Amino acid sequence: MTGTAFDSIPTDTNKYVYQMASPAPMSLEPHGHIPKPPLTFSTSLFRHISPTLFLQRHLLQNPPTRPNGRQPHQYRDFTLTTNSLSHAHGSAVVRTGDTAVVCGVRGEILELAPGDDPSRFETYHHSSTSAVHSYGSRGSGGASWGELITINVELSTGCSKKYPLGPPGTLAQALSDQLRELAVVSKLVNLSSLGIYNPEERHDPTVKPRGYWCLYIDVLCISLDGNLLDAAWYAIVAALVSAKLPKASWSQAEERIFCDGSSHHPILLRRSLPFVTTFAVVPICESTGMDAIRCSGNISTCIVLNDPDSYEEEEAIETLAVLSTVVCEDSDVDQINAPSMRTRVEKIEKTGGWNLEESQIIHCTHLAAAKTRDYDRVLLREGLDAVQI
Amino acid sequence: MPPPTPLSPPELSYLFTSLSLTPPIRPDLRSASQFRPLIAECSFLPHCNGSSRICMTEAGECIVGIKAEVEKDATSKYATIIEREKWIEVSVEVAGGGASGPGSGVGVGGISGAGGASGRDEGDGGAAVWLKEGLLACGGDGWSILDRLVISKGWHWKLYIDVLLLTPTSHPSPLLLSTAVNMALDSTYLPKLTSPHDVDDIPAFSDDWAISVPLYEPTTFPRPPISLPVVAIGDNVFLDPSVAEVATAEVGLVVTLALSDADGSCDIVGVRGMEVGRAGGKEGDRKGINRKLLRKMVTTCVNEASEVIKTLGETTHKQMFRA
Amino acid sequence: MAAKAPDRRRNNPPSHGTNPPVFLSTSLPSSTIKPEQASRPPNEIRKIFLRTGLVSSVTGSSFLEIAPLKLSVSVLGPRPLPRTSTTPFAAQAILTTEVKFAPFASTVRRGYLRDSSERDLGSRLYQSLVGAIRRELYPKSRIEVVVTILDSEDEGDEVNTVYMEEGKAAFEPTFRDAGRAERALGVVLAGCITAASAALADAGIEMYDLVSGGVSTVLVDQFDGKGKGKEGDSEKRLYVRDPAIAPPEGKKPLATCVLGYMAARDEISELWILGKLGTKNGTAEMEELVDEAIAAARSSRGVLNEAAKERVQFIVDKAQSTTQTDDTEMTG
Repeated sequence: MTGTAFDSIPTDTNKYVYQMASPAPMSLEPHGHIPKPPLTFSTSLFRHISPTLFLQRHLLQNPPTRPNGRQPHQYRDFTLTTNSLSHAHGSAVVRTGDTAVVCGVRGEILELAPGDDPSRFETYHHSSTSAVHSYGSRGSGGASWGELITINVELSTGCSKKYPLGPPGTLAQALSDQLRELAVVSKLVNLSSLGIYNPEERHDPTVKPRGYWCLYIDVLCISLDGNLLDAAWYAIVAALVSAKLPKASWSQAEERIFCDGSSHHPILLRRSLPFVTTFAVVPICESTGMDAIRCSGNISTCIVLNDPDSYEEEEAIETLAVLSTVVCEDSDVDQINAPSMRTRVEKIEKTGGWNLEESQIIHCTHLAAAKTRDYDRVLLREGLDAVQI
Repeated sequence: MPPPTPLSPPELSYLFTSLSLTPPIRPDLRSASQFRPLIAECSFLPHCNGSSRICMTEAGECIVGIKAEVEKDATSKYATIIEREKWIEVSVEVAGGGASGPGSGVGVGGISGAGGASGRDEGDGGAAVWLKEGLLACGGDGWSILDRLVISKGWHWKLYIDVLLLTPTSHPSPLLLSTAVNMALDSTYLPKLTSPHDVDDIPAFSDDWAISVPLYEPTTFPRPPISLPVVAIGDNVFLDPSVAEVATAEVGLVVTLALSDADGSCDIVGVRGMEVGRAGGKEGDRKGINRKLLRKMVTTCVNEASEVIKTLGETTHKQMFRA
Repeated sequence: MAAKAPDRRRNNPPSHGTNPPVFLSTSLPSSTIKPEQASRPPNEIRKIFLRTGLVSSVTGSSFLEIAPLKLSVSVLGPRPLPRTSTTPFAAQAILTTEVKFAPFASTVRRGYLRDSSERDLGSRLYQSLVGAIRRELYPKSRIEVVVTILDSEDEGDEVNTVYMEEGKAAFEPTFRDAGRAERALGVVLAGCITAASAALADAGIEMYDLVSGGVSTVLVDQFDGKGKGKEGDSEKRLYVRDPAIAPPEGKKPLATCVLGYMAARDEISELWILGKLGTKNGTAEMEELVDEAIAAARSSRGVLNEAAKERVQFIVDKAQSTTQTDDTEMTG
């Protein structure tokens, strides 16, 4: 039993013909048989047998089209819903394609003991972040205590078959760290705005705060289909913008901090909000057939995919994340809709190999700028005016 | 997960058949509503405010110690509801020998023992939740055990209820646990306050235990609750099931009752499903309780409860007076 | 809350430890003091939004929304048990259930480790589903049900409020009844049961019957002062299906019943009653409460059936459309 088609039923997306078999095995057939058609597969089966080849064949089309039907530079549409949760002080739900994340911001009160130095809470600790990268604070000495902004990503929610239940694995830990670092680098929140004072002493600028709001930012992934970083960061920014903390003040009589639900404590964010755009780099081999799978040693060229889904992420050899922001010269809102809005790159993070060319990176920053403008626009459409400084 | 059982499928099948006969034949020849004999002792730990020790032949042994500590309210005068709920702390620990050692993350209880994926859990199992739930629920007309814990303005007792189980299985009988806690609570005395009630200074107490106040006044109601396990096989209902009977049973309930007045009538303060083995029967048998069976199971418990609670109370008081 | 050891796998707050905000009763806006009293009759349950198949990369999933309660259920499996030497032979599928509140899902922030009440919910969800699944059809495999609660109806900031009005040192007794937190958990559990059944159906796992959750509460008039009104109790009892956390004005909850109910078999797979029920008339009081909860479960069963039907229709439609394209391609 050889030579028969594995599966000749065409599926709905059967746009292309995939042939894998060379004529060689056919000649081994028993004599007297009519030569059978070459081994063909349905698209879904082909994808399972040889995912790398499947993706490459798609990208070699003219124009290059990804298996999900998008162009390489095209990102998935996203939707944003803010403040849909009743117990979080601020929340955002972001869906892009089949990736869905929920981010909740909750404030809790950190009371300072008389001897504490408040200044250590009001600065972002660059040194500790670089320490994470150089020798890994988790790996060597266990976790350390953090700062006023505590960001965590939870993936053990049954969001994907591939991600196991239980304590956070490598991916969740890496993402939590990455997001935390983004918050530190971009100085997203003005930390001194989180201070809680005794209202009677407030007029005195030299007085020290009695406590701080500590922001717990928890990102839950409900459904995972690639590019979690973009969605998670966008959800964090949107949740922070929409967050409303109750007014807190120190009560001298009770020696305790009490909250007042009728007014709000403002969280000051930076003026121009930064957004992340992630790209996946996929190798392309000009050679055809089975050789293409083995050609990873000498890749002739590579192609950049904007907003990869989880299948493309698995095939990627490099990833590139660009943190960019829309620059506002003045606070004129109409300006934001203007197409000539300037954007600025704040951070580029690249992991993986050495195949990406300089021109491609520059191209990526342009794509990131376009997405950043879109991010900003959607945030404005939600009617959210950040308390900016 | 159902309790692990050492019985083989043929043994379970045999048990299932004999327990579904009319009248049923229990492996230890008890009648359907008969309890196993138990040895009860209370106030035997001198450093505890209340203590008890219950021994049941097959089910093992349970020791409960209750300690009360004086604690300042978080706010200078009044506590929020959440803070008040922390005034009672229940912990259940299985000492050696059990299928799960302490801290292994597998729930203790026989009521809710399902251990989830490891590494995401903290503390001990469902038994602590269930015991505390019974205590807090067991109030009527606005009365709550928490009110008894208020000492004076800004001060309260913090009650630690520590349960130590010496059982061969990680799913001990709920009866063993609840009788032990019941007796310990009944024998708990708190020192008498000598400083005035409405002053928020550090309270002072009398060191004379003869005038100490009981946590549950012996003449007022409700009394501390007690939980009775009941399982059903076919149309037969069995009180105080043994490990083998739990493994065979189709459905099980734990009914928590408390004495509500001096006549000996009881109030139902809680009903919970109990994890049973569902072994020995055929596929496609009963998957849940229908209303008729529910009535039968709860009625059996109610009929037996008042006598059990009264006997237990009398034993406690006899021992208290002797002490 | 003094912090314990930092979690090695997560980002941690400052070592000082943090406390949830505490409110003063005088400062609460009136809206939070009086949660909305829905004008729905006591025998009607709230509107349920139930959708299946929203998570693409798992076998089955569902999303449920009842007023503020929002939860997402994923079903993983049936998949083979890990091949380790300690894995016992399983003639039936091994079911595991996990219920986890999002840290921001309730008034008090929950940690990432499952606390005892979450584990308790998980085991009761297990209890309600395990009988309904035809586990004997999936030997040597496991089925995981994971519930993530994003938002829940909770008591609101009032539980963390200090009442310190002038000359008045007492609590407002609104939420002080026994079993307040348990009633909140009960509504969550009922939602979990209904949504988990929908997700299991979405996963195509064979079941004897769908399990739907129902909650009911019995309330009596609140007696002012020490007036003992034991005699008149029975007439004034009010049974509410799918109760809100806040009891209606002037009423005091006596007991709450949560159950998982298989309507087609008329069987209760999980039962949880908490509160105070007299036994003067035998079990009549309890039975009335259970019947109300069953009625609530029947109502949510309707929604559950619709969700399951929608899914079946979707699959049938899809199958039909592919066979149609088949035909055209063959003729063409």
